[in-house]
Amino acid sequence: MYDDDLTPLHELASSHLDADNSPEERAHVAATPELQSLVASFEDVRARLADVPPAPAAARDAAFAAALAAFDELQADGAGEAAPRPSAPVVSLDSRRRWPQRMMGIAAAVAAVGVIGVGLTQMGGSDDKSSSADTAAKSELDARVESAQDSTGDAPMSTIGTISGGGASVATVINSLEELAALPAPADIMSPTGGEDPSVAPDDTQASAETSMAAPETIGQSERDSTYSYFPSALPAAGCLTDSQVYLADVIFQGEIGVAARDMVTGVTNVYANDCSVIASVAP
Amino acid sequence: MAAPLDDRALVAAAQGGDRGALDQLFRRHYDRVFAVCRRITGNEADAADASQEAMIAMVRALPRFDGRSSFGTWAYRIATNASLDELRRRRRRPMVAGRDHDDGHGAHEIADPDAGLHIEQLGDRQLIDAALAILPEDFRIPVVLRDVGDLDYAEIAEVLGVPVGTVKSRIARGRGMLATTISRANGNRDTVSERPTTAPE
Repeated sequence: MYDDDLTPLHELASSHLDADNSPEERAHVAATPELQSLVASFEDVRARLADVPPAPAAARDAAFAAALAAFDELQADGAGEAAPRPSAPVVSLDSRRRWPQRMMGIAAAVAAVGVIGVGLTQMGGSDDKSSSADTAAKSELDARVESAQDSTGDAPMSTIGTISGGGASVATVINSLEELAALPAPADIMSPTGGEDPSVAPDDTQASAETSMAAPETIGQSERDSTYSYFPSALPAAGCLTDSQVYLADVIFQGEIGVAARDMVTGVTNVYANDCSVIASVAP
Repeated sequence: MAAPLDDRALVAAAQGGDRGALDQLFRRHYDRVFAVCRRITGNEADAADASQEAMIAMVRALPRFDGRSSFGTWAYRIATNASLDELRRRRRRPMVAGRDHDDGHGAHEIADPDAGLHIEQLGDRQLIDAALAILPEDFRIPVVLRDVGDLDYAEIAEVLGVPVGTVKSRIARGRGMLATTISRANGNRDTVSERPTTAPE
């Protein structure tokens, strides 16, 4: 793509633009037309970069509102107020990109029934014990499909659909943001490296705000698996987690199947659909 | 008329629970935060999301901000991180993704592999977007932090976790790539505009 490698001239021109060169180097630039031309082209780049179209007013207002809502919540927590939290302190940012997730949730549930049903058929024996287990599992899966199709919003949080040996994990039915916020993080994944909570940096109070700054590269699934020993989800949505998030559970949130994850820095808990859109989001 | 409070005073007031101080602080820095996000993510929608995420993250981290760096530097660090998270989320969305060739600096993610195809047809403002889109992330971020966020080399090195010398060379190389892309696009545009529009006699 680029056939021009970095040359000493580039570096000299760049440091000249940033006023980071010595008097001798400045004199050299002033006396060299090629360098002056390079500096001028870098100045042009800088000017173009700085010419950013202003943020849309709606985006600006939404950002202020969200930030102030987070501030209010923090203040309320700090004051130990017993007042109930607002049900949706953080608005889902990905709502503009949402797919028809209800349909996808139903499709995913149906697919899960098919896959697990095949597994059960293959491992099923002829004795009564396996037969009854099969029946029980199927009824649980029926409930899972029903839950995906019909979200009431009033049902208590419950855990269903435990299938052993098939790679499928426990799906937790969640019908409100309060239930989502209350999802516990398993103790063994809160300290991914076996050490301290990554959100706490006792020696550097700013470090926690600068999450993953030292490692901007994308963390791969295999890397994540090696980092977090407990990462049992088989859902594609499990690949949506960022490196600052910990997996909480496979969930069915108001009828949509997804993966719940908590950001260890902000404390925000998200539910991701399989297309990585955010089904729900709640601040601590 | 009272002089406006400086960032340090506003941070202290906000840490003490002053909502108005926080509002003032954010209104002062939002445009730059958005600009950094806009240049890293490459589009307005992702930049708006990243800016909002960044501001929420700032609120949550504010009690731990100890003022060792300026508020602006700290804010742009968080904005950069939010933008990188947004890029990661975007890569995981079901869409055609591209990866630049390995030029000896490791494989670099590029924002849009097709951005360079018709770059000479773009307007001035779109041109820098397209040039940034084909600039590998390793070079794009330090250049943006320097030329948009106005962070110095040491601050950028701290943000990225790389030595200062690496930051300097990446910025120089990134600027060189951008300048080359823009120059070529302008050259092609000139060539296009000089082409005869009617058949020669």
